[in-house]
Amino acid sequence: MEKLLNINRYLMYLLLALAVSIPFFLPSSCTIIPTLTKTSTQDLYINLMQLPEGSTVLIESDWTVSTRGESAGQFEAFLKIARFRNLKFVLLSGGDAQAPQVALNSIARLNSQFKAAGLPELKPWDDYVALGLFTDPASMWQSVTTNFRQAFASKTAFDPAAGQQRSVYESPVLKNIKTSKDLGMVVIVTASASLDIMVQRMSGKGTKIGQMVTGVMAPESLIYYNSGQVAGQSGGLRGVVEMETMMSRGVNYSADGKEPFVKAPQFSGKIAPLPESLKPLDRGMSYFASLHAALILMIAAVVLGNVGLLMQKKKGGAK
Amino acid sequence: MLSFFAQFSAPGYSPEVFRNVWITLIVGFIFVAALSFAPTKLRRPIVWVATFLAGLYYILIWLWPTPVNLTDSDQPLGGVEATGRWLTNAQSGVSSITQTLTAMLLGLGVFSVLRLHTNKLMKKQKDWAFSLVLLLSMFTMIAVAYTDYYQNQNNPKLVDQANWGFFQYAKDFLFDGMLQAMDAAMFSSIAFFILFAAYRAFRIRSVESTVLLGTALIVMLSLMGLAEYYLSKGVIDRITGGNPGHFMNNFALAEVSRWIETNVQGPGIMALGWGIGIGALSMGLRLWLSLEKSGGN
Repeated sequence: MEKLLNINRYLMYLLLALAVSIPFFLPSSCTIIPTLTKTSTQDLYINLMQLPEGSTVLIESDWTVSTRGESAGQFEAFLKIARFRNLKFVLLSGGDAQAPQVALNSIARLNSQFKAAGLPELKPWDDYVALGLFTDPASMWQSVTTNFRQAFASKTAFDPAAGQQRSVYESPVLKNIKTSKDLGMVVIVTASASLDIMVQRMSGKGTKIGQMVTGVMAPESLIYYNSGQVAGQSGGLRGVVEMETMMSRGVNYSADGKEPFVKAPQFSGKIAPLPESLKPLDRGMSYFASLHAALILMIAAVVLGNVGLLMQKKKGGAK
Repeated sequence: MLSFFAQFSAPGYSPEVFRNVWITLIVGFIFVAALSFAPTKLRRPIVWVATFLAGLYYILIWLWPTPVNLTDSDQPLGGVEATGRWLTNAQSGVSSITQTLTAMLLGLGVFSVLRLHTNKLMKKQKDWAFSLVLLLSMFTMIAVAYTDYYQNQNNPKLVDQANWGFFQYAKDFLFDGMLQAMDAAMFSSIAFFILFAAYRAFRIRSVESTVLLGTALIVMLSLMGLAEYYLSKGVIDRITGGNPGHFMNNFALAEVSRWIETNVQGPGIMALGWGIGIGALSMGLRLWLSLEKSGGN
């Protein structure tokens, strides 16, 4: 009884280390976990997949490696959708000085995957422009909504055809964007309160917003989705897995006449899975078994502690 | 006046930018020097006026009517439209100024770290060796990262790893190989403390703690896709026979956790947000109008 109430902390640390590590050594086929998709994640995915080809998305990437388990999967899911739908994107950061480089590293990593799969890489200037860090994101978003053509007037990027730095507004990504309403969507991948700053300035201005947030932030950011201020949300590692489920199984889609795995009653159409060349779609799934193991361990620890407490109370009452 | 603000949005690397940087530096130094010689009684009103004007712009751009579909070639009708256009056009310049000012805070942080640790090192105070490591690490990262940045600006082929040189590999090793890995390791250690804290804190000692524990268990289970899938597809579907209108569907784990999210968590967070918002508004007003005694002195 006493032992249940006072389990050695180092034993628990060891168990946690083992619980989260072992799944990484199992074959990937053993760690595929069937997961139901939430309406909020479905809406994010459907909105992204419904964007017209060639649309420009403004994406704020405010994550660093400390939340890689969740945010990297979300950012990579967006990049794969961008590749598949030929979306162009403006990449910027407003929360962390390390974030722009972390995002560029993710693009480089995925580009090598695309190259190996025979797909065109995401090219700077033609497919995306990276605008770096905005130390005051509030005034940047204010500029985006009031005067888009001046918001990034000081930003230049290298045009490979011209062989020199040119204004980002002359790039294929931004040359047709006159106001923020011309953007296909604004997406934020964040692990911080930069989400609030963006939503407060962008919602209700005629541009759809999608949010990809960490599990810690998901409950509070869900309020923006429930109120209709944002079009969809992917929350935490579970959100990444849900995105990957829809990317690999489609939405309202069934190839063999069976019931679709992902059913979205709010959406009348259907979306086919992404092509084989964009697979594997398992960035989030590769961590999901570890999350399960950690949560099971936490539940077991809480249950054991309470069993010990109840036994102690019972013994005290008997006396 | 508009052209004054437009200067702050000149394209990067253009001669105008470098000219403006020099002008701003010189004017800035003169202003700071003049301020330091100003009598104390005069300094306070200068700070008040600067704070008020800076805040006034954002108040006006929020409240002032904005002309709809007014193109650059159109003439504004009256003072209201003219002011609305001016406010809108000045936004990017004002934004550039605030970006620069907040970026200066990073520089201030670097200066502070340098001063503190250089002093510690020079005076050989306790743990001076750590200061030496910090300063060496900082200067190495600055040198390597700036050289890599400069080379990348002039040679876009360096995006491809096949064309990398010493500084690209060095930056990759320092940033991705060391800084990022250490960052991730430090953050992941939180998981160990959370596990032990949950074990120690989640005890059924009262009605409130029992409710908290029950809710936490439901939320934790709902984060596990496997549990939610089999409890919904296996247990609930067996009871309901797959009928989506069946009453028992309300007790599926996904439904219960969604109910908690939308009816318990959400309103609680909104209530907190409301209180924090009112507090921030009141604090913002006090700062804007320089009513904060500590800020004005």
